[in-house]
Amino acid sequence: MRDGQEHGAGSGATQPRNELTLSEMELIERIGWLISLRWIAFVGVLSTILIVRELFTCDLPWLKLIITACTIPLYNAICLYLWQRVQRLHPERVGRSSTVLANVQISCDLVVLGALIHLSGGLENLFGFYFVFHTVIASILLSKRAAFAQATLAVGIFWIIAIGEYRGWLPHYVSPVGIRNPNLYKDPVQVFASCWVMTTSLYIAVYFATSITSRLRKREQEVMFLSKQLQQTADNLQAAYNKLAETERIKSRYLRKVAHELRSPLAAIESLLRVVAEGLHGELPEAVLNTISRARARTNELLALVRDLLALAALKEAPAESAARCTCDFNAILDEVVTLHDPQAKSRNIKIVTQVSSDAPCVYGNPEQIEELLTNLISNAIKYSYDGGTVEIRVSRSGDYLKIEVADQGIGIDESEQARIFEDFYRSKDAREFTPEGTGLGLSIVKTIVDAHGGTILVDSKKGCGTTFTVFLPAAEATDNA
Amino acid sequence: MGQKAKVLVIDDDPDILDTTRLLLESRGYEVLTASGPEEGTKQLEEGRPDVVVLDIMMPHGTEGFNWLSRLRHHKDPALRSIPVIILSSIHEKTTFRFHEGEADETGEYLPAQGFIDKPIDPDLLAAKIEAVLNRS
Repeated sequence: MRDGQEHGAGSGATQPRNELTLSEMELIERIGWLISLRWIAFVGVLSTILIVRELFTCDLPWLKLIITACTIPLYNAICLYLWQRVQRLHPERVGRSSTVLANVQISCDLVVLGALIHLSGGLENLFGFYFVFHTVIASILLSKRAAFAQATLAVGIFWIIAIGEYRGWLPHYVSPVGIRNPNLYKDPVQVFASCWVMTTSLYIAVYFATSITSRLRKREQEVMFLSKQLQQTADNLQAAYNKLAETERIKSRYLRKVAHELRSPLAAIESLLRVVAEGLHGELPEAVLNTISRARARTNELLALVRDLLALAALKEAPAESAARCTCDFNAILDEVVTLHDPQAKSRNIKIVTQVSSDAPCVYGNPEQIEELLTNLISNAIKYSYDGGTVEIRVSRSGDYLKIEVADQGIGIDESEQARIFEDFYRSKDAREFTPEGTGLGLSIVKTIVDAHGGTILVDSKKGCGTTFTVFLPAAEATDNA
Repeated sequence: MGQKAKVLVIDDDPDILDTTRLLLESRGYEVLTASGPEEGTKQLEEGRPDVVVLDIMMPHGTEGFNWLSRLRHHKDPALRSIPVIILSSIHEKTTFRFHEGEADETGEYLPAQGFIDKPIDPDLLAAKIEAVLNRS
C-alpha cells in the first residue's frame, strides 16, 4: 500500500508481505459500508429530483438528471461484483484491491456529484458543499496522497462547472432552490469567490482530516505493536512456566524412583527383624529383643518417611488436578479414617469427637486424595495432643464449600512458625521436642491436595493451647457444571 | 479352624520370600514360594494353592501385573478364579486402584482380591487371606 511509509513510521513495526496493515483492515470493512450507503444515496438523489420536479415549476433537464442519478446503482453494482469476486477468488489481493476500489468509487461519486450539480444550477446549487463530505471520507479511508488527489479532482470538477458555465462552454440551468440569482454564474467575482471558497474548504478539510487520521492510526499501530510485544512476553512466560513444571515433574519422578528403591530393602529389613523378634529362629535374650525392637522402630520411621515422600512425589508428578474426580461421600471417608485412628487415640486416652452438620455437602474430588488429606490432619491432631485430650472434627457447609475443622487441644504452633508448616520437611521446634515421630511431609501433602482441589486451608493455633486446621473444599453441586 | 490354607508367595526378593514364608508358616499356613513369574506358574499348576500372594515389581518391571493378567485367562477354570493378594511397595493410595471384590472384566480395576503394603504385617496378611478365602 502506498501509505505504508507514513503509517508504519515511528512504531518500528514492519508488516510482513501478506499481513494487512491497519488501514487496509479498516478499508476492507468500509468497502461494504460505502456500497450499502451508495444504495441509500441513490434513493435519496432520485427522490429529491422527483420531489423538486413535482413541487417547483422550473426548466431543468429532468431526463439527464434521472439518467445521471441512475449511473449510481450501475457503478455501485459493478463495484459490488468486483469486490465479491476478489474476496472469493483472490483473498491474498484483498488489501490492495480494497485501496483501488475505494479510490475508484470515490472518484465516480465526485464525477456524478459534479454532473448532478451542473444539471441543477451550477454555482447556485448549495449541494456543491457535498464535495466536502466526499473528501472527508477519502481523507479517513485513503492515504494522505490519495485524499489530496481526490480533493484536487473535486476542485477541478467544480472549476470546470464554474468556468464552463461562465464562459458559455457548458449550458447553465437555473436552480429552483439555493441562491435565487439566475445571473450569479455570469458574475466573474462571484465565480472566482465560489471557486476559491470551495477549493480552500476542500483542501483544509483534507488537511485536518488526514492529520487527525494519521495520528490516530499511528497510535493504533503503536498499541498493536505493544499488544504483540505483550503477547510475546506472555508466551515466553508460559514457555518458562511449562519448562519449570516439566523440571518439577522430572524431579518428582526421580524422587519417586529413589523412594521406591529405598522402600524395598527397608521393607525386607523390617520383615527380617520381625522374624527374629517373633522368635521364629529360637528364643532370644531380653537385651537382644530390646535392641531389635529399637532397630525396628528406626526402620519404621524411615519407612514412614519414604511412604510420605512417595505420596508427595506421586501427587507432584501427576498433577493432582488430573486425578480421577467424582462426587465423594465425605462422611463415609471420614468414618473410615476415624475408625482407623481410633486405636492410636485410645492408646493415649484421647477422645475423637465428630460433628457432622446435616447440611454438609458432598465433595467433588479424588476419594483417595481426600482420604490421604484426612489421614494426615487427624493423625497430626492425635500425635500432637496431650494424653487424655480431645480431637474435634466438625464438618459443615460454608456457601459453595464443605468446611472441615480438625481441632486439637495439643501443643499448638508458635506464631513465628505458622507460615512455614506447609513447607516440605518442616517440623516446628516444639513438634520435634514433643515427639521424634513425624516426617515433616504430612502438611505438604495436605496443602498439595487442597490446592489441587481448588480449596483453601487455614491454621489457627496458640502455643500450648491447641491447633485448628480449617479446610474448605468445593461442594459437589457447585462444580457440577464444571 | 481346621486345615489352614495353602499359600503361594511370588516375589523376586529372597529376603521377603523367606520371611513371608516363615511368618505365614508360624501362623499355620502351608507355604509355597516362587522367585519369579515362570516359577510361579509352575508352582501354581503343580501345587494348586488356595491363594496367591503376588509381588508387582520384579526385575523386568511390572511383571506381577502381566502374571495376574495371564492367570485370569488360564485354561484351567479352577486356577483362573484363584484369589490373589497383591503384595507390593507401590503404595495403594497413590498409584493404582485395586478391586477388592470380584475380578472386573472391564480391566479398570486390577483383578485382585486384596492389597497389602510392604513391609508385611503377618497378622494383617493372615486376616486378608482368611477374608478372601471366606469370600470365594
